[in-house]
Amino acid sequence: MELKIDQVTKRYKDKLAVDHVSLTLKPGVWGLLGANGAGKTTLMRMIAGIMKPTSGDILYDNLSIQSLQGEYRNIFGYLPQEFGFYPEFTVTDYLSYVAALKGLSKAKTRDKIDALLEQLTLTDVRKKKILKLSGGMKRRVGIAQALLNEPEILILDEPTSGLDPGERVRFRNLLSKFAQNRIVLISTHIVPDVEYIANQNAIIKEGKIIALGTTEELERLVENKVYRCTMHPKELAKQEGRLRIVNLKNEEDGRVSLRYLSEQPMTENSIAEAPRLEDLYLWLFPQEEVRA
Amino acid sequence: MRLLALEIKRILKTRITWILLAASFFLGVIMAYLPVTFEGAVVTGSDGEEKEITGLDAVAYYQKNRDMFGEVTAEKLQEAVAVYQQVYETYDSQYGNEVPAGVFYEELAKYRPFIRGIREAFADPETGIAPGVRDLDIKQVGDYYGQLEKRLTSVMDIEQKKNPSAKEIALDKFARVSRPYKYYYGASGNSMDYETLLLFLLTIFGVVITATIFSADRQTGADDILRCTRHGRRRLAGVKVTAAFLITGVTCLLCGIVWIVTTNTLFGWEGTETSMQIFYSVTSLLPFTVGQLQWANLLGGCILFLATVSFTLFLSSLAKDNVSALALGLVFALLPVIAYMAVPGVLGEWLSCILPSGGIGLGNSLLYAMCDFSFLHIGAASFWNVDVLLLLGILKIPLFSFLAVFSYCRRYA
Repeated sequence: MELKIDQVTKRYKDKLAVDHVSLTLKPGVWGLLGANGAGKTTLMRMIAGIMKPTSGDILYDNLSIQSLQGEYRNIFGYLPQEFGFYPEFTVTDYLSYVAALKGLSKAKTRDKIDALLEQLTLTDVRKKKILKLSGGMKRRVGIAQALLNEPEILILDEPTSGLDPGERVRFRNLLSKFAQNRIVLISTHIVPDVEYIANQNAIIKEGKIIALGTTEELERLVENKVYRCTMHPKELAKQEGRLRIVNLKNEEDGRVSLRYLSEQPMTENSIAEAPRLEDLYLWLFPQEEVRA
Repeated sequence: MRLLALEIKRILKTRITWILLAASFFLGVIMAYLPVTFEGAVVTGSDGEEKEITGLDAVAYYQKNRDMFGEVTAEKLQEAVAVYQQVYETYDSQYGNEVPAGVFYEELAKYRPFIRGIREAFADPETGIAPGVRDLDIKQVGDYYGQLEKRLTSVMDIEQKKNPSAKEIALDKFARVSRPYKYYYGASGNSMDYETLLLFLLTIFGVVITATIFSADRQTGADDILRCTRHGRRRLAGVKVTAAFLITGVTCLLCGIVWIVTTNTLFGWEGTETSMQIFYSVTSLLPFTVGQLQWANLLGGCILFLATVSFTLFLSSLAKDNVSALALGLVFALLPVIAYMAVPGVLGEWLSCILPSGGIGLGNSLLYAMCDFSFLHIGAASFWNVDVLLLLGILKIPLFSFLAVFSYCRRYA
């Protein structure tokens, strides 16, 4: 099973949102990292078949998804960035509605909904209107609908926004289990969401894939570019403009400890640190703030 | 079927739908009751005092005066004219309101349904002006039914001078109207106006309910998920259209039935046997009783209602948000009314027929078309407005439904 994104381009009137992207997705978890406006959502929507590429094609097992239509959607699950729902529906109503659209039988729908509500700790709110749920709960309902048909291809656009840390961990574990023999593509700008579970990561910037590889391979791209040092707070004020600081921590001795990105050490007491995916992300997107 | 049931459930769960559906049934009863309040009579009590009675009391009073019920024979018509002329001469009057109220209700009220028709039948063939009651020739009135065809011919000569085919159609249709006419007290033309008003209001409600069927999903982003599912394109769009038709169409039909049942229960079911020519033109082209006209107006109105709903669904499938869908839906629903009032002549008539919600309105309604002699023309061929309205209505339903489904499926493409 493979999903091939072949030279896909999407041009709006005055903007090139996705620029000749080619990517072949095989089973496993894929992270699509990029800043806001990098083209992630546009690419996701084209993969979901709700937006047509200006040029290029998306092929599922060498067949264009445009020609597969319902067959493709049958093995597909999608959670968009903005989860639109029917405010008048309860959680169960909504999931039953989507299950019917996905062609699940009545009996399977009931079992599947029960299981997903349990897995996503939504059982207690199954009779509640979605409108009245918290942001995190709504997001989990969104995740549940995407998983209803046990899709072979699961596309999740910013799936963890609104989830608390515990929920994120549970969600990552759920996805890791789910991803066996399936393609799971997670688009995010929250690096830790994919750092530990993605088999492959693609980094998109200004509509182009600028880096591709496993977390370890990508981390190697910033090897010897991550340093740690300590300094007096007064000196920090002088250095702040010069250093691309990733992390900053007050130490007990009154000094501050810095983690920064640079081609070479910028202070005498700097020592090289093991890079993380987040370092690469910040290296590639210097304008982005550090996200937890 | 499961998807259809779920979609119906979804639509019915929205508060505005419930409010409008409840309001529809309430209106069905109110619109039937209002004409009752306009009924009135003056009766002389056992103490010799004149007393005004209204509403259901007046209805009961008219139902008791059965002398003129049944076939409207030439003898009854001659009797009506004779009594009217005698009373008018006594009081040296030309109109009913110049006669003392007690006398009018005592002597003339039971003949009132016939007098307008007799005057119309003997109107001047050149000018179309009806004679005064005192100018009517009682002997001539004996040939009332023989006069009707001549009257229709003169009407068509005046109104459709350049279109002989229209005259042919009219005469052909009128030949099928059974005579002698029948009359029983019951719901009248006034009452029928309220059925038309009810259908107009139901159409506005239908537009409000259906305008957001597609656009709401687009506005909230819900359809990003729905469209990625196996049945999330053509089948979902078809189900949405079907559910909208079922909810609004069944409501329209049931509210109309509520109106018919309430109206005839209040006024008396016997009145449904009255020939429509008693209340409208004596040469009306449809061979209907009042009861049949009520049903024809309802069923025809439902067709035009569904045509409007289907067009609103099409607009909804194009709109990016609910406000635009609703605004466009209402504008198009009201456009035939505006065209009828604002655009003069043939163009106005064409527009009020061919617009998506043609026939929805008051002056431009299907009811008025059924009682009228308006024709549309293409070259030498003429088409009665009623036939055009209904034929186009029937065609618009599948056409706009298909366009709604098509445009939903093509969106983003």
